Amino acid sequence: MLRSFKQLAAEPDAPLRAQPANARDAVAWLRQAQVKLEDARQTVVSPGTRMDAAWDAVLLSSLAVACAEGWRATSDRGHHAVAFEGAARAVSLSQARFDALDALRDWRNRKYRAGLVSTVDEAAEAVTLVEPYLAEVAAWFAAAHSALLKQGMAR
Amino acid sequence: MNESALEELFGGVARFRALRSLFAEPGRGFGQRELAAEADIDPGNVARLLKRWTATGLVQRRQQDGLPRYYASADPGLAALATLMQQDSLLVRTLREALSSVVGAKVAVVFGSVARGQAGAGSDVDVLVLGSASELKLNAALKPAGRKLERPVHATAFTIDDFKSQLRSGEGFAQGVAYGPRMPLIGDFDAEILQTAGR
Repeated sequence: MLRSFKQLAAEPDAPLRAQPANARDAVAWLRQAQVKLEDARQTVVSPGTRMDAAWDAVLLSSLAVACAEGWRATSDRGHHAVAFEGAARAVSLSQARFDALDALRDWRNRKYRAGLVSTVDEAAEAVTLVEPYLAEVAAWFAAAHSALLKQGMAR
Repeated sequence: MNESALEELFGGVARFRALRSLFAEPGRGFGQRELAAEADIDPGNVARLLKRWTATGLVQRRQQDGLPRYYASADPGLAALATLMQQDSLLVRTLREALSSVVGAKVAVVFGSVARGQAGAGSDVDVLVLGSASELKLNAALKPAGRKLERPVHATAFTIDDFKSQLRSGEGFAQGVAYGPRMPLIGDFDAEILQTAGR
């Protein structure tokens, strides 16, 4: 079962801190997530670079969710994992969808493994996993934090 | 061999399940309660069996952090018992079940420290999967298995032709998996790879 930001922050040495929501930061992260998704779609760069960009899109949108919910991920070990799990819980992502995207996070952790070669097909698969997540995050913001979105976009 | 036959062979459900938990991963130590939970048997039974098996040398008792932990004997003469127990261990059953839903996974084996019998309780489980399934799909499919086993499971994926090519050219990873200890999960590694690697 996916844990909330509050539950994750209660773990020892959790790389999460409570922080008041910041509209400007949340919107900036959402925009950057879309830019990274666009980067991940570019077939002129290597599949590995595209997969990196695909994961960045997941992480940046997750940081936006954390920000809107009043949390900030630190740069300590494990911050990608907690940002994504907390955000997935907040937007009610299913466990299966979480697992599929979490495998992309694993890929990032293992990308320096000897002999790991990413293919064009794998990069395309990563994009198809990430696109609906960003759409769900956008829908969640519209439903749960529309005022924050308006405030952030007005600046 | 089915579980009923093995239970009969080893003198009962509790004896078989406790031995299977111990010998399926010889490098893993268990506390009494932990072994009872893993084997899904009564803790009282476990205490009695461990006392008897420690006395006969089938199991080794080591003191860790002030508490006793029990390990399968490292006697090379018992290696065949480990092989037998690995065929239907919780780990193998869980991984098989997870991989059964992945289209394109043709051959899969556990390799690395778990297959060598050197892994601890929380050690990562390394799985090689050969076929057409992507590494992303495989690792996603193995996540529930990792949660059930309470340890990370990592899949490395290649096509059969790619892995054979690595083997022919003497690549260390392929050689290590092919000629090192392996725990079979799905397919026939020997038939698909070793007997046809020259082709």
